[in-house]
Amino acid sequence: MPLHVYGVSRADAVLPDGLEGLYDTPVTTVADDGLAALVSECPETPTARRAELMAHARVLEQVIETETVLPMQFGMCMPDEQTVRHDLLATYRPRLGTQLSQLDGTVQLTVKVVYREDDALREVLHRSPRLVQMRERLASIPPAAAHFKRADFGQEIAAELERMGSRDGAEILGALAPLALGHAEERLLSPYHILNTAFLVRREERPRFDEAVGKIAQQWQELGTVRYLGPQPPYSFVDLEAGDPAWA
Amino acid sequence: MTVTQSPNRYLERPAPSSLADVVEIILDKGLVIDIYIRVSLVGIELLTIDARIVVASVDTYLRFAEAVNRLDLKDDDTSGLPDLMGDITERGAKGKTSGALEGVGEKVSSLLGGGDDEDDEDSDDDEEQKRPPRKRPSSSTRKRSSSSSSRTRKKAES
Repeated sequence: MPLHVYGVSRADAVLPDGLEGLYDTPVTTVADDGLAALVSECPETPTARRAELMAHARVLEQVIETETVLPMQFGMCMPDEQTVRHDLLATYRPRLGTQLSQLDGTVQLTVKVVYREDDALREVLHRSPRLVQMRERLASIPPAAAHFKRADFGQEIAAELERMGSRDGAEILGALAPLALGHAEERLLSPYHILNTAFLVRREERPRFDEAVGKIAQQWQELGTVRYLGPQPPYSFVDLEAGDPAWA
Repeated sequence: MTVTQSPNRYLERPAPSSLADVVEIILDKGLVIDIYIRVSLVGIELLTIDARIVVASVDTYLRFAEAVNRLDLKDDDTSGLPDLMGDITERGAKGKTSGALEGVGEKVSSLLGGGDDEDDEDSDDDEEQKRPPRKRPSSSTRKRSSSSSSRTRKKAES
């Protein structure tokens, strides 16, 4: 039966008891010369429904609580143990070993900051008396006659929102980045998302980082919300290709 | 604008990821040997990814205009502004400009001028909804940072 691969850890890593993966199957290891792939049996082509996606993430989140694990992307299905040993563990052994050493004792923590629409737009107006005037002028024109003027107005609002978001995002990043070994900025899904960044943090630095994120949440509560995720395996810091990352 | 007096203590510990967070991460990040990636999309029920706002269209700007127009400024017009303004000046010091929306502006002009970028936008959306295309377009006008998309996708050497 094919095996779904969750990640790679050291062969002596201790997995939580009763760890269950996709389709409620037990997670086991395939070990080879000091490395262990975390796997569970799965169909030839696993489905990517809510349950499977969450199971993949939860397995890795449970393991990273205590052990270093290099996460695989969802959907890595290998035909059998022999293939896992050869095509994953043996083929990539030097790289996997290097990454396990570099990432040892670290976790990924993700911080997302999203403006609340009304509060952010209100702040945009507060910063720009000119936009307030534009808004008033538009209100006195019949809507049908103001189509393009409204679009122009919206464009200016969007530009100002973008400037504000970039500046605020950079300020938050500046407060957190020094507490992390490294960070990776991920996609911002809307103009209201001002930070979506994965931080690589030493386990012993967790309390300081937690505290810093707590402060940011307080500092920004009038404008938006802070979401703080983790501990996650270092999804944003793993790579099968050689090349030293900036933080190593 | 309301000010919550009680501190946000709850945030001092990170929380497990929600489905949307998981989707964003595990379909895109992590180690990959391409030839072994298999995912069936049958019955896929995800993609509640945060309300997405398609930036590159006049409609979007009209939505911004509408959103701003419905704001009630009476509660905090200029007379009530000083505390906020102080805050702003304090915070506004450091600058970082971004090209993101300038790019959008260009796109909009080309739309208005008869250019057609709709297809790009659609295919970008499709990337978000479906999964396996091996390459995600690396340039999105909304993406202000560049470090994420292609880096973790690796090919098998054999």
